[in-house]
Amino acid sequence: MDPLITGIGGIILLLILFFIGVPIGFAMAIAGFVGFAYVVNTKAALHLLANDIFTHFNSYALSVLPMFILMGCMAFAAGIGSKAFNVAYILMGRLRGGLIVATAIACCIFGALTGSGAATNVAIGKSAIPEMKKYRYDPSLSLGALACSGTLGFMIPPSIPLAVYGIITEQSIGKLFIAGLLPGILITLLFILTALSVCWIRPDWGPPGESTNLKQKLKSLLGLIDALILFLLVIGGLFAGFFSPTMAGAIGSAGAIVIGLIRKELTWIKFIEGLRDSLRLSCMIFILIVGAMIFGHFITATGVSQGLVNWASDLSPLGLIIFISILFFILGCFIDITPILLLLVPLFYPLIIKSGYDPIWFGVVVCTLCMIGIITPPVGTNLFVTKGLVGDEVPIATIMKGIYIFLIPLTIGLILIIAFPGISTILPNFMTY
Amino acid sequence: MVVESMTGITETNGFIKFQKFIRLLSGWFEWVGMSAMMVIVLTTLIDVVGSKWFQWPLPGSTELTGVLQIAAIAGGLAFSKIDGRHIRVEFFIDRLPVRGKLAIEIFNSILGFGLFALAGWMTYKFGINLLQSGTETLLLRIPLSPFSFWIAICCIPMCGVILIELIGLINRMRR
Repeated sequence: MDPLITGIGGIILLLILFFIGVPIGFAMAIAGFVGFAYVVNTKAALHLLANDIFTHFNSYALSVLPMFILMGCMAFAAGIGSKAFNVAYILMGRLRGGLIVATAIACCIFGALTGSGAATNVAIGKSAIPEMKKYRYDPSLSLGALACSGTLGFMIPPSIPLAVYGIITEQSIGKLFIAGLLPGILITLLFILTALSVCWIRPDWGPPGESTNLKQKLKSLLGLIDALILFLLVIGGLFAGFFSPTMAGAIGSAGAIVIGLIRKELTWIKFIEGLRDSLRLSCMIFILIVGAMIFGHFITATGVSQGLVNWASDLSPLGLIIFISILFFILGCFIDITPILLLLVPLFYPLIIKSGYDPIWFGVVVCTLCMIGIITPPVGTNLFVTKGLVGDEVPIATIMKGIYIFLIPLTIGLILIIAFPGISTILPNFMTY
Repeated sequence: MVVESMTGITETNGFIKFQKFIRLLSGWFEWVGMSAMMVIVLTTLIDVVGSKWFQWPLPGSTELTGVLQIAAIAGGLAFSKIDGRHIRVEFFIDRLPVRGKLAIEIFNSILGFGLFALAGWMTYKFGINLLQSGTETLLLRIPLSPFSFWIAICCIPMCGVILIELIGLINRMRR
């Protein structure tokens, strides 16, 4: 059989495995193994399986992932998320829709300490939801805003999707992290603008909270010290080229632990829970990566990647970006974003380079698409995390309505990032390494 | 002897003992993984402080991180499965009738079991190859074969977890 047809057959098998509920990492490994055995031979496929598992478990480049996951879990256990929300609430709470603004700002701050959208959602949601209920905020708008603001954890450095992208494409993870900073702030501002506009039109959806005086506002800023120290330590160190991303993650983890201990927030139980949580999450991501690598070897052996490159080379550079965005959006509705990232980036990256696009900029575009992917129903991680936080009180359809409102600023953000690459590339250009 | 288990499924005493054993084993392995993860943080810290302030980087810290990462990730495999961490698309199978869904879940478990049984067997053979060739890390000369064997060993509780899942599903299908 023509290897190209076999490759397409392998992709169809993979999609079938996805949709019958085989865990995605397992599905990629199975489809890749079976396909490789068919295209090359069984002995080679068996060797590939062991080699890919060992090599990737042993990879120093991948160690950035567990370190930043650990940092996020420890920052959460140290109570930095709730402090960030309190500060943002004191500063912005008295505005119409001020709680939503505070949520977006707090997510932006906590996003600077974790690379996970879901972790940001939980850390801020736990403090924000009771306040939103207290001030009778419209559940649809407030919960939709929370789910969408949680995605900022993906863009504001450190970022797990950008780290994964950096590993796949062999781009500097430090540069990618720094590149995500301005787009993250831009999207935060767009969220704030949307919240203020909606609450200006419908004041009953976001009534103002208690007003605070200047002294209270200034005093509240002390609550940001912990987050600021960690951010400057990790991202400042990366920006200055003082240490590698893995080192930054390890130092950030240790810093979060120390802060938690000094503030007496981090108990032994919370520490163990955080460590356990980060290990389990890391295992899931490693299995996804190993699965994607096995599948990637099969796809390379069939020549599908080359076929795709030949086909898509007829598209204009902008057409290519639009095509990739649509593909991400459609798949993002049904599949979690990490496997999509692992499947699509290796396929399209050569084309992006051939089209003359900046790989760092493309990483930020992909990260924005991931932000959209984790909120779009029916399979949106942050949608379900928000639903989990609020319990049976609010139906999922109500949260989805709010998400549709905040998809507008997110889409505008994506368009701006695509149209003005400088937003992503200006800061990395200042880096000296 | 036949008893009603926590999941409400009628199971034999031997099966419950097996379940407890696998859970205990997975828990031990996870502790190894968690400890390895903390050691990565510590070695990296020592390396950074040593290299930036004392001009003495920890020799082979990247090699140490690599092998400790194997210990960590392989150690956490089984419990990440017990905890249901592996992402899957449930949107379509949730719409199937109960028996259809169970049949598909049984098929999925067989595939998962096969995958990790193969992975365990092949990483064991890979370890034998590494042992025979005497493969070590470049700087610290840490032999790599024990880490491949560790992955193979960690596949045992993983297969056990999937097997328990499979037996539970078959029992539910029979009822």
